[in-house]
Amino acid sequence: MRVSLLTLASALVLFVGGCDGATDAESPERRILLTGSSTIAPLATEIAARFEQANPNVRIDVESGGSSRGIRDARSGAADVGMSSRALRGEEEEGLAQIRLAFDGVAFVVHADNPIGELSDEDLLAIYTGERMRWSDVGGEDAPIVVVSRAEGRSELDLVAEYLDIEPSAIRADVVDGETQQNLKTVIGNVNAITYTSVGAAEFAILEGSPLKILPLAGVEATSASIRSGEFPLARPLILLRPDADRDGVADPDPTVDAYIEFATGPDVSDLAIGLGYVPLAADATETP
Amino acid sequence: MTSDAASLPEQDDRRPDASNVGGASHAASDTASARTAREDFALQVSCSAAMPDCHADDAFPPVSGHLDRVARWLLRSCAAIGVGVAVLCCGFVAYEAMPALRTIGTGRLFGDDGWSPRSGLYDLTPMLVGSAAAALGSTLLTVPLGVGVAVFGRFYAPRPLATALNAAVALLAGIPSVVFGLWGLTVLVPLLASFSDLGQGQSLLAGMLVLTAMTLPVVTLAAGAALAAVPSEQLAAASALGLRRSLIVTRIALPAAAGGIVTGTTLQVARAIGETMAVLMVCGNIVRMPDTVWEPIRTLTANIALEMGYADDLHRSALFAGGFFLLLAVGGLLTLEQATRAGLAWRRRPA
Repeated sequence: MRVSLLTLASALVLFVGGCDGATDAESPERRILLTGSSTIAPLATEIAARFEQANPNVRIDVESGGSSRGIRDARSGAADVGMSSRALRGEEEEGLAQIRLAFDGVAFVVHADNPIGELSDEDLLAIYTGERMRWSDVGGEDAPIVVVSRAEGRSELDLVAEYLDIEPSAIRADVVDGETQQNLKTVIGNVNAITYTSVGAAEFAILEGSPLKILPLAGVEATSASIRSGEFPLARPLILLRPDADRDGVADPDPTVDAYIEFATGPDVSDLAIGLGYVPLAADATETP
Repeated sequence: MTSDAASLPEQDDRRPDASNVGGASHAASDTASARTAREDFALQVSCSAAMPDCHADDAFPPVSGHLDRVARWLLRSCAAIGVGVAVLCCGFVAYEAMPALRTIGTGRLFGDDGWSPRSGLYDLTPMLVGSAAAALGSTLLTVPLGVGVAVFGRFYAPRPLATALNAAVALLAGIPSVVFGLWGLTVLVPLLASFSDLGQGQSLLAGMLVLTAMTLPVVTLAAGAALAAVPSEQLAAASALGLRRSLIVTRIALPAAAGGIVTGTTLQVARAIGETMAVLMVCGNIVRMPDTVWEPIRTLTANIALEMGYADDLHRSALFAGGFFLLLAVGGLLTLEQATRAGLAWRRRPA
């Protein structure tokens, strides 16, 4: 719903912008479009709001649609900046400059009333491949395990499959969710459910009073320190992407986009990342990974 | 509108009925047969009333004069835009689906070893079944319920209650589908989970129930409009001849309104098949043939919504192919509706 509204809004903006000549150099209005990961979208939106306050003639639109879309749009030029919440694979890296925005962890999450306090990697693998189907099999109460997974293409699914060392298609789920918020609501509403989700989003929901519990992974608690240090095994970088300046045929780098990226990775907005549960960067922020 | 509830006989027993005045029990069987004969006569009188079906070709004076011509051109443009949008949409979906239909082929789209586009598996069948099961399940619940609400509102409810009922149904029609989805996810799904052996509420049943709540206004409003269009002379004649209210409803009003109810049902099925957001939130989205209503399903629309943002090339085209098959299904549905209406009209033709 939100995505389609945003799309509609940006289509309108494109239309109106096209009418009064937004591409004109003299026009005071400058529009920046970010597309990609729905994990980064809330952070990018809040950063954009603050950037717009400081630069009233700039208008920033953020559309989610998944990391793959962000990578594709950054390369094709459909967006000024792409957002990816997973490391780029092989040829995806070609021609794109990657700028780290923050870190996030992906952790397994259960309902707060579930007595389970920790699950071994072996248990998680057995649960997600359908070998163990009751909580009593892994030391919990006698109840069915409702396995919640994510739709194909979501970065969380890829990360977890990689961590469990299985193909995404090997996961035997009972519920497949798309958006993160819907995913959390599924677990909030079912004491027998287990899912994996962004630590940031789960922490934020817990702060707001949702009955959720984040499980440690391989004995490591999901904290800012363990995620930034890389000790937490399922950490991922949140990356902004734009066409590589060295690449042939690329227009001159847009100073407004440069300013936004510098602002987004600077110290003025690290409180926003913390507010959403993400782990802000250390000082060497603009370093290309 | 003289066919309001108030103008109909209040109750069976309050109807003046000479043969019942004595109250003698031995007359009961005679009374019954007398009533049947009289009511049959009443039905014949009411049903033979002509129902003109007028159309531009036969019922209006020819188009003449400046104003008429301008109006005709304006209205032709409206019609052309309406048809054009529909044709363009269908054409676009077909065009986008073409690579999948060509490369993968309909055989594999209906008979592959599962749905896993990254592994090159493109079986749409479980999702077609999911869409059909959710839509038909909700139809079985919605049509009797919706027609019941409409009949109650028209023939049994006191006027203030009927007005309130109409307002409530209109309100239900205005609730956005994402709100139904949220309600389903936070209220209905946990409730169903407490009854399910599988321990989860996201299921075909949850989808059916949410679709029923969402599409109830479609059937109720269509049936209500069709019942309101039943000629008041027929109802008045039936009342004057002393028919019981239940007979007026079942033998006169409902048969006369059947065409409208069929149309309402068709719109309901189409809406249920097309619904995306709410079913995405409550159905569980597992690509698997369901054995019971407690198991999760994925509908074709939910599949498109879940994966379109992440799909490339053939995967994307396969999603459009799913949409294309949905279009064909709705087309088939509309044909069925036309055929049913034609059949009904033929059965009700003046003798």
